[in-house]
Amino acid sequence: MLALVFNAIVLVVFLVCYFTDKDKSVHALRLSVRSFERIGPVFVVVILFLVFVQGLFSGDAVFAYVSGVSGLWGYLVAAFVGAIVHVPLFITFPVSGQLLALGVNPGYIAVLITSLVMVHTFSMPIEIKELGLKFALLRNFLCLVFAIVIGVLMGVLY
Amino acid sequence: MKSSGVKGIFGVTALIAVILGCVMFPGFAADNSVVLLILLYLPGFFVLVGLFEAWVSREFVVSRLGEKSGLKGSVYSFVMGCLIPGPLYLAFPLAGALLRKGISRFNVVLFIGAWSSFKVAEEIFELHFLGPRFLVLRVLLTVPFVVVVAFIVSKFCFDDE
Repeated sequence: MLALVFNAIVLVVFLVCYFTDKDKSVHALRLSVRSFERIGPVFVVVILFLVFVQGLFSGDAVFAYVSGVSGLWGYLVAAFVGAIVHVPLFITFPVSGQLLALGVNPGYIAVLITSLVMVHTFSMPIEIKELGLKFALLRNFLCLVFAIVIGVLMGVLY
Repeated sequence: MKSSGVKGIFGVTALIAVILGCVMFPGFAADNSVVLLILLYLPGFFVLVGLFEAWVSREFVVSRLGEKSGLKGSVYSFVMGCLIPGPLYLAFPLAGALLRKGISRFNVVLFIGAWSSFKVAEEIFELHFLGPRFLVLRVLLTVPFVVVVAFIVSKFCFDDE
């Protein structure tokens, strides 16, 4: 749904550009094709990886697992699970809400959400291609560590 | 890279990959697939990147978001990250394009950080399902870390360019 809205917005922007300057906009489309050719193959790798991970762990299993652990271990599990799996946010938030209502430590939920949104192992090929290996490794690592810190703080403060 | 042959091979590979995925994991295609979502985002996204590269001048990016843009530039980068819808893996090509246009390193990491954690559309979801207390606390705790990550990554990760 959001994807369709996104495409519609881009279409409107493109039409506005097109009627302002036709040549420039056609040139822009050519650039689009070029950047698709450049980054497209990497997207295939990422999609394959995603399909694989998705097949190994379903979203429900992830949340069930995270709600079943306790102590400091729980933060680590939530962080790593969030880093590896990809759960779309329209599933993440409703299920997290249920877990919160069931009394699962809000710290775990915060770690899981933070790690899910900030640490993207599966899309690292794209990140590496665009911004470099060092960038991707350090950013993901820092976000993983900070996800745990944020979660522990949430657990204390909530 | 420009020949239509390469494009053809690529397209077929992508198609086979997706079909293979759906066959290997039947449940996957049924529960409305992340892959489909990615594919849905792609056309608009690449058009956006093209438009950006053709229409936005280097001078504009450098003056608004470059090294000398100061706090204002950082705020712009942050807000831009919050407003553009789309999953994180689409932020990277856009960030790459911004870097080539002359955005500062700090701002580009900030942009990615904001994109990943504070999507306006997603926060509405979070507010609805997890409540205002959770949302406000998480956002307040996360903002400083996003800034710290931007600082560290921009300091240490670009020297090889």
